[in-house]
Amino acid sequence: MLFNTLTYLLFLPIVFALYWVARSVKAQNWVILLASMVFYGWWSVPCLGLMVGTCLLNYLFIHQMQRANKRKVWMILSLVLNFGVLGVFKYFNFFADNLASLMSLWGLHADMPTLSLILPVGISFYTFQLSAYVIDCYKKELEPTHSLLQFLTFICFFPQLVAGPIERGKNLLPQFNSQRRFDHTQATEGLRLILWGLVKKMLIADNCAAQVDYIFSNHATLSLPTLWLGALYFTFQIYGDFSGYSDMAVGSAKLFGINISQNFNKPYFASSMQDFWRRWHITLMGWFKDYVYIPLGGNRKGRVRRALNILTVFLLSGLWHGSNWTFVLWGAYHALVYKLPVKYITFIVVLIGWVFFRAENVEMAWGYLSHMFDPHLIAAPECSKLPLLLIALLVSTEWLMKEALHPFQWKNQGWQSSQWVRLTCYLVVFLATIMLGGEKVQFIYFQF
Amino acid sequence: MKSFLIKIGCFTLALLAILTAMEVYVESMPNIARDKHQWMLQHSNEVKTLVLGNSHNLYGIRPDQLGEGAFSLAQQSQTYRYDQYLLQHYPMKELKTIILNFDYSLLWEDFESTPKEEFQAMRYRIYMDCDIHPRLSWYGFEVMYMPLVTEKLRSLFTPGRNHWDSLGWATEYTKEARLQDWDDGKNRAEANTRHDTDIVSMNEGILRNIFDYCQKHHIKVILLNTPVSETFRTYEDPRQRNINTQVLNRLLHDYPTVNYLDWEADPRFTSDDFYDSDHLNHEGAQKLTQSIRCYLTH
Repeated sequence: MLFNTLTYLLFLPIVFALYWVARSVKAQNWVILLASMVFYGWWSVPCLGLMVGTCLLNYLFIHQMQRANKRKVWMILSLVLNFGVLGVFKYFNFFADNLASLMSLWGLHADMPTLSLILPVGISFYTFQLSAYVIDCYKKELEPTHSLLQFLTFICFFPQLVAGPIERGKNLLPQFNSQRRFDHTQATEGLRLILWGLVKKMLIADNCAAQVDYIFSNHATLSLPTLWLGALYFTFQIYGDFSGYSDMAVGSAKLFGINISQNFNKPYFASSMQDFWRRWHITLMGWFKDYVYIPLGGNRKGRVRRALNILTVFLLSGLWHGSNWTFVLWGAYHALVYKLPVKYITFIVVLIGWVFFRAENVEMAWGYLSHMFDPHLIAAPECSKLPLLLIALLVSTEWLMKEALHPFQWKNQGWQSSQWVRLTCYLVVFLATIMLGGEKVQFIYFQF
Repeated sequence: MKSFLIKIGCFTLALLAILTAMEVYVESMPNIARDKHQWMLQHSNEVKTLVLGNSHNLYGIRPDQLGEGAFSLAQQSQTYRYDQYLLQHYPMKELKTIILNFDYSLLWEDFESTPKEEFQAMRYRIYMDCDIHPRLSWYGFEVMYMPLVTEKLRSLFTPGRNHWDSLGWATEYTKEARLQDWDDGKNRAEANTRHDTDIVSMNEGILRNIFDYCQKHHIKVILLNTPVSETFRTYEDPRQRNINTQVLNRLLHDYPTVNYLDWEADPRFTSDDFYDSDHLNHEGAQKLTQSIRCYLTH
């Protein structure tokens, strides 16, 4: 089920009504859990089975970890299960193909088996959330919940299940442990965030998508300015798509009195690459920092080791996004530029990196990039300029409201205090989003 | 909670009021599907030759030159599913001949199986009383209403682009109106290249139902492959063509009375006859219609 569909528009009020009718913590958690099962099962029932099965086994292992003295064994077993499932579904064919290619370089011919499996939606997100929980429990930084209901609700909470934010037990679990009471301010804020997320997804991302598809598939024949526009459009497509989804996730959660983490903080206004990574996909980078970078030694073991740790984090982060060398290259590129003093050109550096991310293969990425810098290809742009106008609107809105979480944070003074003005504004924005929204495109981050 | 629900209610009511007003306004605008439906309600029993099919027939065949009792129910992107529906929906006592498309892509097309095309089914529901998808079905609800709102709101700002005559021939594709680089055969052929063979099997079944119906009612069937530019043909996918040929051979073998006119590469049609790489302009339509008439009368 997608957030930007009529199905979700019907699903959400039904769950909202049932949830607030429920009088106890347990009943509220049951409503959330059942709703999450419907939400995920709507896409694929077998994949729902896989997710629930993985969760149940993790629950079992964590409890064994509490009882037995071989805590580490149960923790490792749990992680092997989580990353094993992820590896089989997401990376098996990639590694099999590459191993076969590598062997053929040495003249060995290997018929590697390949699996025709569908990639369960959101598997990378819930695997990371589960694994963080397991490690936190092992390190005794978190008291594991004894309630299976609470545990499943925490992992499967539908607003953030399929595309994050990747939540930590410390933040989310306690919220499922106490009675939620309806908070008018929080719920209103949730709806505003959903509306702003819809604007970013439908108006910005979907309008850029068609142009990006055209430009990337015809990059060999297009002019230099068109290719730069294509990269710019993708830069905002992925931002509108993913941050729009995150806003809708945070907003939906707020309707249920749950606060989940912000995943984006106006990343394209970053003043350095480090700053960019503090603002982009915040929960994923936080995960890598806590569970990879710091355990590897972080910045405590000298400059060389630190550089290696950064490289490891970015390569893994690239691979997390998909089983394709383009993502690995994207990760390597970011590791390379992470420490460069790129203050005034941070945005350009990020934009160039997105070419690796969007390209279907490495040849396409190199071809695209080389044409982007080929002065012989200077000619008038050959694509629609509408997304450019929409991007300008988005950037100026975010710039004007850069201290706020979203542009609908009204001041209770002057014209902004009038409820009728606000209602009109919401109607205008909603109708404009429907009317000018591009063709419906699936959220990019669903594939990860 | 009460104040929150009141605010949500106000927003929803205001939104519904605006959408309803727009709906009423947009539905009152001229519309080819509704016009064809109205014409058929009044004259269906006078129809002797019925043109069905997609935009290739809609722009390429002129019923006014096809002889008495000819009418075109062809529409943009019309699939075989809706050809069958329209053929069986109206009483046509005098019907002698139907003309269907059999072009490069039609066998591979189905609104219901193609997410980007799903909304096209709405026009049959809204304007032609088609009950394939009731309004209260899930498809009717999710697929036909939501894009309908979007499409309709958009059409407020781009009305009246289409023009058609009283017998259902769409008239806006003239040589004067065509673009400088009209021969976009590469893009058009690639856009019309599909991969879902399940749709092919389904459409073959629908064609068989249409042929059975026509045999039973003594209606002559003409399958027409309309002319396309050389560029378009160059970029056609050989695999897709091959499957088309296999299906066609099976159909012609099982239904020997069906007539197939393959004029896709007919040299009589020159660049002056095209609006774009796969649609004819007025001159081309005149030429094609005369050829069909000639075929029907001899």
